[in-house]
Amino acid sequence: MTRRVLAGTCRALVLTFCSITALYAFIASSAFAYRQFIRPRVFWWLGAFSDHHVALSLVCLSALLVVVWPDLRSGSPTARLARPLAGAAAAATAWNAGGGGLASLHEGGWAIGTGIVALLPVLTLAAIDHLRAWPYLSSSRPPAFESQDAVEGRLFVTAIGTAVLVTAVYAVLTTIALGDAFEPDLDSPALVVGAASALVGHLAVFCVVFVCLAATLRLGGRVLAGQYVCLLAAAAILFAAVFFSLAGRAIGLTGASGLVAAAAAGVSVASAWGGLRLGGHAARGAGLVSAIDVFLSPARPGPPDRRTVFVLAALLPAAWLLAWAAAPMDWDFVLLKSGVVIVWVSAFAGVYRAAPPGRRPAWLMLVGCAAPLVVIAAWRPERTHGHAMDRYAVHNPSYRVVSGLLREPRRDSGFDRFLRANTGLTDEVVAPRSIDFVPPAALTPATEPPHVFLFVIDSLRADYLSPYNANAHFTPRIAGFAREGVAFRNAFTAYGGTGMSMPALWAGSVLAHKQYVLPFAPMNALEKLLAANRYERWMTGGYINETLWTPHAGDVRLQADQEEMNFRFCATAEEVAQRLSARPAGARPVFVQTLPQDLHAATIRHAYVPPDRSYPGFDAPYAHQVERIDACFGTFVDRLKQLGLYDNSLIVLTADHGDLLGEDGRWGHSYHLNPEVIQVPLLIHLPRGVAPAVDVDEPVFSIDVTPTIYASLGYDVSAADPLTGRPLARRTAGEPAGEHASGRTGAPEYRVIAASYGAVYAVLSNQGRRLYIADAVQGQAHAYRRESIDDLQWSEVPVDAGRRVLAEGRIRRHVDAINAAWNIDRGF
Amino acid sequence: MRRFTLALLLAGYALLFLQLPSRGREPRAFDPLEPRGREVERAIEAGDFERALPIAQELDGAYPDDPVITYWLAEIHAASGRTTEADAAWQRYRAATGQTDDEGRP
Repeated sequence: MTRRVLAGTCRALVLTFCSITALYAFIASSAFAYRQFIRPRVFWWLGAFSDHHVALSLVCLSALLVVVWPDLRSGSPTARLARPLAGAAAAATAWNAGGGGLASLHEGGWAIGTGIVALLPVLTLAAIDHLRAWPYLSSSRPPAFESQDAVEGRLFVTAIGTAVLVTAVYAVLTTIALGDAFEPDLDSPALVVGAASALVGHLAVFCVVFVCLAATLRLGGRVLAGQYVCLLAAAAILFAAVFFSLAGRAIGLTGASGLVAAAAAGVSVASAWGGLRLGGHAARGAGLVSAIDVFLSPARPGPPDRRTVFVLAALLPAAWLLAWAAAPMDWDFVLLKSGVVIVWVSAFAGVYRAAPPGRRPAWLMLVGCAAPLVVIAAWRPERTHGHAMDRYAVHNPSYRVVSGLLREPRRDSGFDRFLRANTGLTDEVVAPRSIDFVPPAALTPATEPPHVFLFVIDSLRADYLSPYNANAHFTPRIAGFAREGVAFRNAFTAYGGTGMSMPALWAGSVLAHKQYVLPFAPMNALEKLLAANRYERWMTGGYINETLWTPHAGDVRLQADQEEMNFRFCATAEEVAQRLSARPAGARPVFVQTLPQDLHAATIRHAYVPPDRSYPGFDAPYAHQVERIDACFGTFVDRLKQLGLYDNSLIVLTADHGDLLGEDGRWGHSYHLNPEVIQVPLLIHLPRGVAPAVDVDEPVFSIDVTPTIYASLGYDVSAADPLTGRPLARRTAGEPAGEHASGRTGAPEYRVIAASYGAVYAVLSNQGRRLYIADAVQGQAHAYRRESIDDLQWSEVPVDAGRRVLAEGRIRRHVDAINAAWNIDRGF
Repeated sequence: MRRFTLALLLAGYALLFLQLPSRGREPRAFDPLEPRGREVERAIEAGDFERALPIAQELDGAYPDDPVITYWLAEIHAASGRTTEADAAWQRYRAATGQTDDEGRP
């Protein structure tokens, strides 16, 4: 017994270690996932796993040796697998300890190979399990035709029962979620239609499962081993498909490398599951009627046992827990949908245990499985109740998955292919181009350049600041700053996601969709301005900064002892204030830049909210952090005033993008370009002698910041093109308000905004009141509108043909313009 | 009988999930990313409306009342100062898309 427990524990250790190692390697293989998750250590546990990987690999090797020890000592055929496995694992551990481990992994095929190698112990142990249990499986009595019919009958009952059970579980969860909602957006009739649609959808999905399982068993013939091999292959394909469509697409692991990783993951999961189950059945000598019993459970006479009852009763809390846990840390619904798949598999297994075997007439199976088909063909509630069904999917994760599977295809996927081909150009060598707001010869030092403070708060939403939302009572200092300066009320980022947003801000231009075009210096218009005016550069570090800025000997690294995800606004502002206090009079002007992570999704989910603080109508952890930033910002402004630096400072408070805080069930920003993600605050204190050049209600963009800094220093911003931003300020002795030297007056008719990490584009038009989103990742389109820029809430409206034609044309031309500027040809 | 039932259901669900019927029923739609469409759009982007016009008219004949093409025609005529033709093309665009306002009117 002790030996079995020890072996089981060690086996679990090996499986966990190898799976996480492979997951790490697969994430690292994707260029954007490596740069956005791994390198900045967004998930602390993944970083800690990497830090301790060498020590953990020694533990894993020990555990592996415990597992295979009996095989190593025996003369059985399993020794032929166990010995090479032990030797290879020891060699890999030694190589890992020698510095070739996870920490050295980066994007590319090498990481994929590492992930596959990490799964080899899992596959080999599964092979050993199968080898051990094969005599048991091959000697099991093949089922008679009668019993095969009975197995099919049991599967049919299981499929129908699971569909009903899953529908009921998630219908209850939906009701609970709506009960907690501040303003429930589904009335009772919509709930009924949603539940009915969910039932039909679930019936269709589980009938497919039944039909596929029955067909696979028949394909395997009357021999149990043959059936098992067919089922194992089907399970591997299924798990690979789930991995590819859920995880692969979300982390940018697509194409051939994505397929390879998915195949490795699918085969590993299926073979490990099958091998363990088979070993257990063989040890107990269980009588198998069908190969499906290997994966699930043989039939039991009498009422369901306690384990079955427990599994079924635990479904509701498990479904709730999985959805709750996924919410704040999810990325493109990967965790939410994975949780649904877990609930589906558990429900199917539980119902199968409880389902009595028995032959069911063929006509009953035909009617039972054809009914959902007929209903779906005749009744598409998404056509008649489109908005309500979309809202129902928001609250019902299982329906979200089902409706995704049954969704009607988009008529024109050529546009999606166009977007995907022109996004994240990892396979394209792109040469840099020069972006200049002033001809290089004219970039001479300005007279009395002001200090420039560029505070870009990662993920700061405009509607959490009182200049944008009167209900945000917790930012009084920022409100005071806005009253003294300029609050652009209609501001947007050019890119959802830091990866492209920050480079575009520095360039003052939209860019080729590649992370990154190097060297970046020719495009870094802000860096050129600072160099021409001999600014001292005080900046926090971080991957993007370190990659795209040319280091100078006199640079001051703020928060130098902190990792990127630990950059905090208060600490940085305090450090800057202290450094300013210690500077001699008449020193060179200072440029301060920081990208604090106080509000990043990975930080917020651990944020503490004191019990005496409440933020009705706001996300409390997020709002509390905003309140802290507000206080520190106010203190910093006070210090500038005390030092006499305020009046001759250009202070920009903005964000690289907004964030979703549970709206429509979405969190973070990933591939989303919803209004909450693209709207950003833009508050500017202009130095003496500089005034706003545009109306604060006009739509403005993050790429306008750099040309605004140029204009504030007195430069005639004349070299702009349609891809670049425009100056929002002017020297008061210069041009008249509302005009600028680029020759364009007023806001552009529309702007195209892109996600940083996927083929999702948006068109913002009608003075920042219309938004069209083309999502080529999900194959969807969305449209939003608001009547006035005072409206904090945007309304989602149907996507009609006019909107689609217009927006897709604008996006095509935007991409064409970028490609023309960077000499990119993607074959369209 | 059971094999036939399973085969029938398998075929039915394959049609449902792979969306074969709706793909088959779709009329051949104009894809602006096809070479001729790209030629028109590139010419418009370059301001070469005289080169764009005959190709757009040819496409208009092949795909009558396609909104992408009628929009291009409205754009080309408007940029060339042919307001009557531009108005007519814009009205055809509105009729094809159901758009009720003048958003995006060239």
